Amino acid sequence: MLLSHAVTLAEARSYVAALADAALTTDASIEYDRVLLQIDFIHGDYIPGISPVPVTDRDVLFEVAESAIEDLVKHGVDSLTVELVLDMLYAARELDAP
Amino acid sequence: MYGETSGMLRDALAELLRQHRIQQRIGGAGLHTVPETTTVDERKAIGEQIARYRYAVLVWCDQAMRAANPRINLEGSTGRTRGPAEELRYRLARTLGGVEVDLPTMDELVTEQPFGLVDTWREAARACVLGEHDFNNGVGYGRLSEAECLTVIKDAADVIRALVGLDRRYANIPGWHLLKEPGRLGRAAETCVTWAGYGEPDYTVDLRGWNPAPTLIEGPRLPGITGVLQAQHNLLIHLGTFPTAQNLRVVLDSQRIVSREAARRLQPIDPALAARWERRGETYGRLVRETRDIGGLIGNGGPAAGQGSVAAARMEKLDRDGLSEAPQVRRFQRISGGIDERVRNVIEHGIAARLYFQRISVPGLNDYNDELVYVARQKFVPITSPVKTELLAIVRSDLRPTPIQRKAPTGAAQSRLDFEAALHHRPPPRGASPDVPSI
Repeated sequence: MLLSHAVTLAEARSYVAALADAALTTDASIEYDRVLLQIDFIHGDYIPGISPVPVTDRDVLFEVAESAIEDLVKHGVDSLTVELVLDMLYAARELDAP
Repeated sequence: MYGETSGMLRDALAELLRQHRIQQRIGGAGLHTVPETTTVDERKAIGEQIARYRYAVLVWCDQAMRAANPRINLEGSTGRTRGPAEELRYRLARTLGGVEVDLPTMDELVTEQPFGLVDTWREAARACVLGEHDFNNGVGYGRLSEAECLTVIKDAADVIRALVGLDRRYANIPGWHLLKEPGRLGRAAETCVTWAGYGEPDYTVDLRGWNPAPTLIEGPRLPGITGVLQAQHNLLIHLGTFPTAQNLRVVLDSQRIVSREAARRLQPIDPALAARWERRGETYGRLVRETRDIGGLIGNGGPAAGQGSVAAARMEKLDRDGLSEAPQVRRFQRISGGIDERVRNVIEHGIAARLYFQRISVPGLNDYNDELVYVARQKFVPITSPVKTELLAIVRSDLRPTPIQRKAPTGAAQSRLDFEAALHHRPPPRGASPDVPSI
């Protein structure tokens, strides 16, 4: 895994995990955790760790997570797989709507 | 199970104890209305066959005494220095040393015997052969409580009393092999029974012993809650294989969903139980959060993760009143309790044996176009290192299994009472009908 891929992946994981922690409902949190599991499943076990993120606003967290997942296409991840992950992310977002 | 095998043995011996006039029961003379059907040589062969079956019962008694009272070396001890259990073991060892026949072969154990009396002996020997498995599967010293040990000792001593009593009754069979020092053996057994009977017996020992290993519930999806039970049961069995970190995370996630959905469906029926399921869901939620950054490639767990996902999906689709049947809910609780215990063991073992690691990002430097740049490096450290998570604490405090209150099976005490009655049974006097009370 190249450094840029690792950085993108770490960003995606960290922001999705932050979304799961900041979710308003447990159902949404479960869905975000499923997104995280799916991202990890795509990459196998050799993945960067989760770091604390500097923001707490859920909209910002969602935007960053979405763009990081979209960027995974540039690092060789199949675009259909990325679309499926994004779909799971949107489904989680719908459950998280106030 | 010990209860089944020892119960079979007691039933067979109780039946034998109620049978008198042994010669006539193996085709010998004695009744002028019933002709003699066997020769002396045939009765001698029958006697040898019975002695082989009896040898199997004696061996079972020895194994039971060793399992419940494992003092290894009785050589050099005397009657004064031996306790009641040791004395019985010593006497039993001397009796076994004097046995001149071999153990029954498999053919002899499975072939039905022409005479009912011999066939009952075969049943007793068969129970003993089956019962051997129990002593290596939970009925052994160290696994039994003191009361359970005494119960096993008393059971074995009662069987020995029965054998001694039957030995005298069979003495007229041609060529019969009498037990060595039957009087001393019988006295030792009676003393042991009295000693072991001082305390309150613990018949939960009947639930211990060998059980067939649970197997997967294959086949198509079962309807309703039974489909969820099917998937949870299969998950529990698949968790017998150590899962990789990623598959463990899937299992944890599935149990969180299953618990939450169960709590939702139980809320209108039993709020207290629903709260317990809610707590389980929260515990698994915390576990999911704490395991986001664990890694570990050892093991497999793919089938377990698959069954976990199936269980979660079926639970989500279950009707709102899908958990209204109390027996099914109890089964569901029992299986889920087994999963909790297994998950706890897996995580503890994974951490202790360093099969699971904590993934951390540390700052590092990299040479990039002849310039040093800061990068984030990932590193795997043992979960017990200073960078530890709350994982172990959660597992130890919240996934601790509730102590199981074992209840003795129904009929355990009755089986022993019946055998005791058979031991003290006396034949009715000549001419008296046992069914009609005498005036």
